Amino acid sequence: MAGDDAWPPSNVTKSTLEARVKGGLLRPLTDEGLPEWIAPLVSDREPNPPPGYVVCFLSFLDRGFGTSASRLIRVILHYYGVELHNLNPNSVMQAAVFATVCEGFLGVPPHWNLLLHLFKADMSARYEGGEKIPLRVGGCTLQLR
Amino acid sequence: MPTSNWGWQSGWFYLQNDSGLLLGYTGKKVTECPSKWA
Repeated sequence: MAGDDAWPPSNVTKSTLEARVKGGLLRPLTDEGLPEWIAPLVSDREPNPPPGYVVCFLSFLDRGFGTSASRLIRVILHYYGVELHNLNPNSVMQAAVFATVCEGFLGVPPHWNLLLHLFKADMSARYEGGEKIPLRVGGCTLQLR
Repeated sequence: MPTSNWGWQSGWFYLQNDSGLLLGYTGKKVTECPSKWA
């Protein structure tokens, strides 16, 4: 990242997102007035989502973030008091793997108490001269205990 | 699935927040690790 207070410019285009639609990772556009997703404008130096939209990342889609967002991801965000952009790809993947283990192997919906037993969250940061600098994105990491 | 997370922060876009089920975007930055996270 350019600095602790700067977002990197987005490299996402409409064609990038259409490729994710083709891959089944993103819903197709069905309503021009209320599109399911929007590629940032080149002039968007940092996210400025319209009302009713959040900031998501391509890597989240690649690592199991489903749209609509699963109940598990929503509960994780509410419990830890963070927004979607505060997670990082590894955290999204941990949640997706956990849901798969619960549903596919244990035969139960993702179990919240089991998640808390197995995982903890930590603050991700970068270090500069021994000082911990918070990250603008991806500041909350879900990891196995 | 990609094998590297390198540069993932540049892959941002806007996603419709279905019925407001996700916390709305405020640009929040995580500056501390509350005790309940442990």
